[in-house]
Amino acid sequence: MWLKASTLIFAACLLLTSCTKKSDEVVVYTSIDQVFSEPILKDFEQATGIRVKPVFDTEETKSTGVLNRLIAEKDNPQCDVFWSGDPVRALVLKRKGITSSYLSPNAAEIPDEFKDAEDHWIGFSSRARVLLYNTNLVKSEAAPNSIYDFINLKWKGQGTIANPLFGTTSFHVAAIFSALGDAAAKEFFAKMKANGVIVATSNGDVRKRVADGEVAFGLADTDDANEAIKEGKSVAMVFLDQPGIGTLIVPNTVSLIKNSPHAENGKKLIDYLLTREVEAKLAASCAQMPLLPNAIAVSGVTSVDQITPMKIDYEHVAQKLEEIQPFLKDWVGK
Amino acid sequence: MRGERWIAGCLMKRTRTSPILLLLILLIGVIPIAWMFGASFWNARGLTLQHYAVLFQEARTLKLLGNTVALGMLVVAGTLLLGIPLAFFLARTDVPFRNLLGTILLVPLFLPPYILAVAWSSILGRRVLVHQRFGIGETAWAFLNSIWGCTFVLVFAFLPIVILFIKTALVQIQAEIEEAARLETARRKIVWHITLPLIAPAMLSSAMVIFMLTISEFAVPMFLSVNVFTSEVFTQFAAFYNYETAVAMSLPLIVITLAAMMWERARLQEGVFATEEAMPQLSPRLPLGGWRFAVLGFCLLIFIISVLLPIGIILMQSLSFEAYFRAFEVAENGIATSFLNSAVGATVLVAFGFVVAYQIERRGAQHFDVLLLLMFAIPSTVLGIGLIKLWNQSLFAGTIYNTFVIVIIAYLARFLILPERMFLSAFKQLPVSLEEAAKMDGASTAQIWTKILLPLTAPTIAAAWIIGFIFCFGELGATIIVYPAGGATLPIRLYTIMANSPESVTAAMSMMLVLPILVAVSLVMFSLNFLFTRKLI
Repeated sequence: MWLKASTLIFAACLLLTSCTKKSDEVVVYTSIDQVFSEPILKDFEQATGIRVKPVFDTEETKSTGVLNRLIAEKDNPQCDVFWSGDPVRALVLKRKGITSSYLSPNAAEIPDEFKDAEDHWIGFSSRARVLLYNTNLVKSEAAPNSIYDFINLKWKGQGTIANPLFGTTSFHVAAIFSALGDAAAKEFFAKMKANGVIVATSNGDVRKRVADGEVAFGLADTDDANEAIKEGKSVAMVFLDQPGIGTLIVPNTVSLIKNSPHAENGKKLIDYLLTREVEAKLAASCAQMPLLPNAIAVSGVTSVDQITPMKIDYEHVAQKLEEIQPFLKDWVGK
Repeated sequence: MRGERWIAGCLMKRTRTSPILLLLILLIGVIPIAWMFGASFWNARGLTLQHYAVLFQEARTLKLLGNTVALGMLVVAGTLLLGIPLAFFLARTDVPFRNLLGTILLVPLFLPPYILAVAWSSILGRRVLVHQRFGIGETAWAFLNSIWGCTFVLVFAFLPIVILFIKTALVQIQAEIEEAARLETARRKIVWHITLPLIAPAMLSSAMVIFMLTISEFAVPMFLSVNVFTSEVFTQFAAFYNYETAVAMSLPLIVITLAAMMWERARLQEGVFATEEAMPQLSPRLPLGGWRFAVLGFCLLIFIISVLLPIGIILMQSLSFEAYFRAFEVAENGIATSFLNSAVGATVLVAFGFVVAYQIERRGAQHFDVLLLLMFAIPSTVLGIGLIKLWNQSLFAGTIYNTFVIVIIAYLARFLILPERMFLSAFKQLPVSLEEAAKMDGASTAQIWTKILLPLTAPTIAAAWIIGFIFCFGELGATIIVYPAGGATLPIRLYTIMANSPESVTAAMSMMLVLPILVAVSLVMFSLNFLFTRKLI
């Protein structure tokens, strides 16, 4: 009798609590490092009174957490907004039918190449790929400035890149394949391996190895380079291939999750992220380059129109990445 | 042959297992894992083996598996070689500072092995001034970035597990046995023929746990450029987002684990470990005489290598007020969340571990051991996703999945094997005759548990709680997949700041991971010592 009664009460409690959906909150999953994303989310809370419940992930764990979680939650989504550090992950989610289209009114001024044609993701503040070099080991006038320096015998065993299967490096490699063509790109990577490139675990690891002087230079993102410079490490950065094929621009992206529990609040958060104020904050905290025209100027941050970008179609590069993954897996394992 | 004997033994043994316990074990891990494996046999067209084909398509699969097993065995050999004498010296001799050393030597376990590997890369780096002066920079660097370097890092990361398991077993040996033997034979022979066989279950259990922790480790091998099979499984998740293939690729790791378990079981079947004396009485400490300082030197050497150097470098990197201030700012409620989750997790682990081990040892429920091993062997990401699949249903989303309960479930699924193994060793040392005699005297089950089993396994309960707390505090793989929004633990916060925070802040946060656990563990150990010495428990 008691057992039956307590089972019933327990079931009723489960039902009641599971049906409770709080209207004053928004759940955001993000692969942007917590130190940069959290202040923005707190500002949003203050501005709107909507409580933000974040799930953070990081480059160090290859964003395995949030991506796999979003995929696993597909049948009963718990997340409203996915804020990604690059378009690849947003494209993965789009292909898996996890995001829905939402065209924020604030996205109107963002250039078309940084938006999904079906509005599943919108790009904002961007990073660029740079060469970070150790100033104790390399003089600025002799510093490497091109991806081709990785196959230059002068730098044999002196360069490092993060594992190209993951993160922005994977996207960059796919962009190189798109730009050079498959045959030339495969030859380039074979030469790179022969020239003793060191495969680091992440861009953060690249930054550490260069800063510690384990290697002379490495491929990283502007935020990694900026952090090392801010720390006072003996490093400097160079935008890749200026002039030449240009450097890869990696925008943040934001997507609304399909059937999300707090879709309206999710849209408000997306609108908020796509503002000049947020871009300015990200520029100040991690040197991200604003994509909106007439951006609020932040000293020391290069503007996107000051550099030569790689001419790419993000959707096409994402498809290329899928094609070349077996090659990259072999390349890393050799 | 021995494996067959073990299987036959399992089948013939009459089991009286608790169905409620079985149901709980199924719900916390077995069903989520089965769910994942079930999906790996399906594709859009129905039943398929296509995801398993990848295991046979790549020529390097065997080589990578070989590397994984070799790394596992090297780490087990290294930890046992150092850990057994160390545990013996700390538990059974009068070496100075043994209590302090016993606590401090646990510190490497408080940090994720990846952090220790990063610290070692700062110590054995190419450009370290000392190395450059002696011209050994390249040699040190080449050593670290090899299977030997990887073994080195993992041996010192997992050494505390052997120390804790074996110290606990040594403390539980009853003095009378060794004293009786001492009348007949030399002390060296007693150690060899009596003490070592009595702690054999603990040795095997710790070896098993370390083997499994090593073969499931991918962050350290990846960082040190050592190719292992586990990285391939991780790549399927992190680069390809391909669950089905990732699950299929976990299969060889599970087979290796089960083979290792059969070997371990066969060894356990061969030995007789239970003692027949009624009440335990601690053996007197072995006076080391002139060897006291040589033994202390050995202990200090291990302390320097395993604690002082790696933790020292992290501490040095963190030494600024600003770094700690920023680390506290970022950690926010992560410290409280981690403490609460770990304390609840460790307590639940001990309670479950005790009951499960009892069922296995006294009721012949060997299948529990297999299930727990399976849950431990499965990559944490597979388990995490399986937990989402099972618990992210409308009925449970607000009560279990989106709350800290799901984190506790993940802890249970991942680490239940640890207390279970410790209690299994303890029960093997405890004569069944004690319970039988009590029963004949009319004692109830509750009385047997409260008056005999719990008091006699008190040291193991304490050690299991400590090890449970430490493992829960540092868990990342499954927690990062299932933690409730807004409920990040300290290791998650540490990893989320690593990529783009100053080294000093990351180091400060690593120290924030070490210090609270050290304080908590020291308090528990101090209280237990106090209670034991005054015979209050």
